Amino acid sequence: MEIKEEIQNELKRLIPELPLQQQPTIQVPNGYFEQLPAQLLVIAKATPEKRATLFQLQPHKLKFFVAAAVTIGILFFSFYYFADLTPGEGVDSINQWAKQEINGVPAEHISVYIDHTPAFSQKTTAEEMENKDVALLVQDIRQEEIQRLLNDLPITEMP
Amino acid sequence: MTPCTDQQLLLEFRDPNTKDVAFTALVKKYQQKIYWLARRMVVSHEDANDVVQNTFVRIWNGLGKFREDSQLYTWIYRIATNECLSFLEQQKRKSLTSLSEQDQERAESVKADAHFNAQKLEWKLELAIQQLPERQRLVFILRYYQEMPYEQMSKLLETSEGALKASYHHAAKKIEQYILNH
Repeated sequence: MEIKEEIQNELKRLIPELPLQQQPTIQVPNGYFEQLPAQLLVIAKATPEKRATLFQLQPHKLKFFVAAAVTIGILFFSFYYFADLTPGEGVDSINQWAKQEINGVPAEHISVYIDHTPAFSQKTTAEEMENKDVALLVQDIRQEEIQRLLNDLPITEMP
Repeated sequence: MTPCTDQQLLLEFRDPNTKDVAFTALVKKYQQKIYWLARRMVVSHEDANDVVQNTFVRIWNGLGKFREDSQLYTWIYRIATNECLSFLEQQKRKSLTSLSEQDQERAESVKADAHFNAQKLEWKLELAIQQLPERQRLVFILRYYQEMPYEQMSKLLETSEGALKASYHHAAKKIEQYILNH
């Protein structure tokens, strides 16, 4: 009774024009509640218990999993194929091939190749690069100007 | 003799010899409450009947393993509310109409009742309830029709009492507005 009064008072505050429901407005088919317990017992016994699973794979969701699996498969095999990561092949096999090719070339041919290849014949040390840079810097300056500049500079001893 | 308390029903249900009798007694005890909750949530008798059936089948399958962490009454109501909300969710997914159109369809189902009278306050209330969002509708039905205390509702819906009071007040104000405008 207490809860009924509490709800009634609450309703008076919120919707004064609305009384607490006494009779159901909506109707139920005749004899529904009398027959329901027996019907439910039959249905409950006939319905197999659903086993609890981590997730249920419903048919409409299955196609997404299949599509994802196929995509992942294609990506994996493409990477495997193009990267050529088969054990014993790849980088190791290239080194092996290069060694065999070089062993097959006579020593004189290698010597001639080194002598005539600019990358091997020219000296490209840092010192030589600096000398070239200084020459480039002073090439447009007249000799008299350089001499005058040298005369004006105070003479200091090198450490 | 038919057992009365939930604890007695539970003991009887766990005994294979009295399982059927206990289940029948349990259905008799809760069928009307569960039916009216479902009927006001899903509106049509056929849909409410489906919800009631699913609820009691789940009770039949789960009662043997019920751990008594909560009261049996709360557990049964939790199954029923979950079934109602799942049913409405399935309807939303199947339906090609918008949510407002679905509200309208439920209102039309209320009007289709043979005893419907648009002038009567109780029918205006039935229509107003169908305009509420699902959770608010559920809270209003549990409070107004099922006379459930906030404390019990809080355990059932796993929501604070304050939030439930606020939800009920919002629902009541929307209903008042609907009644005044119709």
